[in-house]
Amino acid sequence: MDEPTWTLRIPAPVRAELWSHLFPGDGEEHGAVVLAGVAQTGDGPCLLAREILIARDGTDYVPGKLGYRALSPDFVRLAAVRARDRGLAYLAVHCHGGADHVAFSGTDLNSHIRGYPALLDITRQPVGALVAARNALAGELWLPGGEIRALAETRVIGEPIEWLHSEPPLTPSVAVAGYDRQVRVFGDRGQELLSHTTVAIVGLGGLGSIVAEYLGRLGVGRFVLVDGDRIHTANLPRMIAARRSDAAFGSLAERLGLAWPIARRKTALAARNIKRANPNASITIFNSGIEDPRAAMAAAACDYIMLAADSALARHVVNAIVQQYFVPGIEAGVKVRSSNDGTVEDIHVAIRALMPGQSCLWCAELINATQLALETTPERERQAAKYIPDVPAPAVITLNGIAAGEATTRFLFATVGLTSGLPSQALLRFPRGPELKRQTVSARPDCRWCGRTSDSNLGRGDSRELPVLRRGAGR
Amino acid sequence: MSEATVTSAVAEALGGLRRAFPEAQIAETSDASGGLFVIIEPIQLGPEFSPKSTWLGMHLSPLLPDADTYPLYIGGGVTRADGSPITDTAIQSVAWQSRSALQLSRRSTRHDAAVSTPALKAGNVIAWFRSL
Repeated sequence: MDEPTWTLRIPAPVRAELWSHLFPGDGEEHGAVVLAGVAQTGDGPCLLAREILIARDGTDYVPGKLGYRALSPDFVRLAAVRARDRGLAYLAVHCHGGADHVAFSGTDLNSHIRGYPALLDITRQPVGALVAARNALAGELWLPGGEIRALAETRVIGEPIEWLHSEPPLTPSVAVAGYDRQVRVFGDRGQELLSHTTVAIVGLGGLGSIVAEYLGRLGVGRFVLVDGDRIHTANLPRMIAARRSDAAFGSLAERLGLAWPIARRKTALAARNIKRANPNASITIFNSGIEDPRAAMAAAACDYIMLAADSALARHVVNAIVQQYFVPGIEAGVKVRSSNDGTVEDIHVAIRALMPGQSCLWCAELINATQLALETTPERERQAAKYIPDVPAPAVITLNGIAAGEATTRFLFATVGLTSGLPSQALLRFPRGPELKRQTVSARPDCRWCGRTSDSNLGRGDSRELPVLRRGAGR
Repeated sequence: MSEATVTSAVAEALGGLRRAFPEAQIAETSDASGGLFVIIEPIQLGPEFSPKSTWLGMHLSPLLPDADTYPLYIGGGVTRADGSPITDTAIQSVAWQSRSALQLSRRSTRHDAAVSTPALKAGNVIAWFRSL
């Protein structure tokens, strides 16, 4: 059996804070401790860097007895106790010179041997060390079971996503066939990244079906598709490559007053389209909402989430996955606002980047707590409550296409490294005219999802349950 | 219903309701998803209403504390003691948990997961109803 590969994910703002401390420009060695949650991802166990404890030079980071400098015993004790009390991994970090290559010195490794067994006893969590150069990061992890593992890779979750290794990765020796035209935009390395990326698409309706088609055509290698609905005749004008037969039998059953669920699943249509575009794609399907525990955990193990469902419940669960598991995402949607007489007043297309440690959907007030309560009320009670059923929202394939194109392009650029400048968090496009709005919302420091407080769910990984609905509990 | 099958937040909310209504009995029924239906009885409405006391019901969502507690329910037979009608767009007669009920649809406009507990919501909604 292969040994598990440990990786590290660090939100871009956390990395920026850490790097500004480690590399202030003085060429000196500096230190800190990173506290990290732990999660099991599709590629193995992962550390989630959620807190930095800065070691102040001369006080917490002092001349070492054997090495050049070291964390003071008091600082180590404080950090270890905090790791223990919060159930977080303890990672001591310091910097070396250089840029693209970094490795522990012999003195570093000997200090691990001297100190980490005791730290394991204190924290009862993974402990280890990170050593950083400007563009490189190496790590050694000591695990509670007694194993010692090298850190395989660090992923900085931002736009673009950055990968840090102890040395530059080898360039691919074989180009991925069939993508020549797009490889001219982002290179063989970018195409290889796409082929190894796992994307969850939450919501496979009109907008989600276009997202699936685009990502399949791009050559994304692995998909998790989440949607509990079947195709209805009314969906056909907006669903990519949908056939009348996908909905026909379901519609016939409906006309006859039968309850046979025989229309095709929206996930099945998306899978069919992806496979037609990329026969090598691997696809996992959940015919449920993202609030299903299995679907949520599968999405938490992905590299990216595309949110194309607009329920409060879907937003809440995806928001939680982004913040708790450091899985980046993009939310895309179209809003058509009409007056009571049906006159269209406003149309806008919105895409929003969902990044860990940055303003989340709760901070942006895009999740309604009352709507969340209603969506989690059992159906029988909701019907008895005599709530007026929602009127179907106006929807047009071309508007969905704008949203899907913007969202998938943003995903593409973030993945292959083509993002330029500091993108705004959200983009609102008003297709009836030239108006374009960019929004960045400030995160609430005390937000229980994206806030960097000790109690927040940020980077907690597997230590906390996602906000899922456990069907059948209590029966 | 065993509290062991509900989420920790729902269990905590139930504890808050017990502390807020120490004189009342609280009946719990699982919603089969980690939440609870609870009925608190009696709650006092005061002499302006007939009957003076009734029951209060709500669904504790499995997504507490992020989800609101909405709507709330009281006994369907509650009227004003002087016979005048109780009218408000937020009130309608429904059947809830096999009981005749008045549904009190008061949304929380500024829900804060840190402070907006079901116990606080219950107190606010009762106070609002009494003020009608």
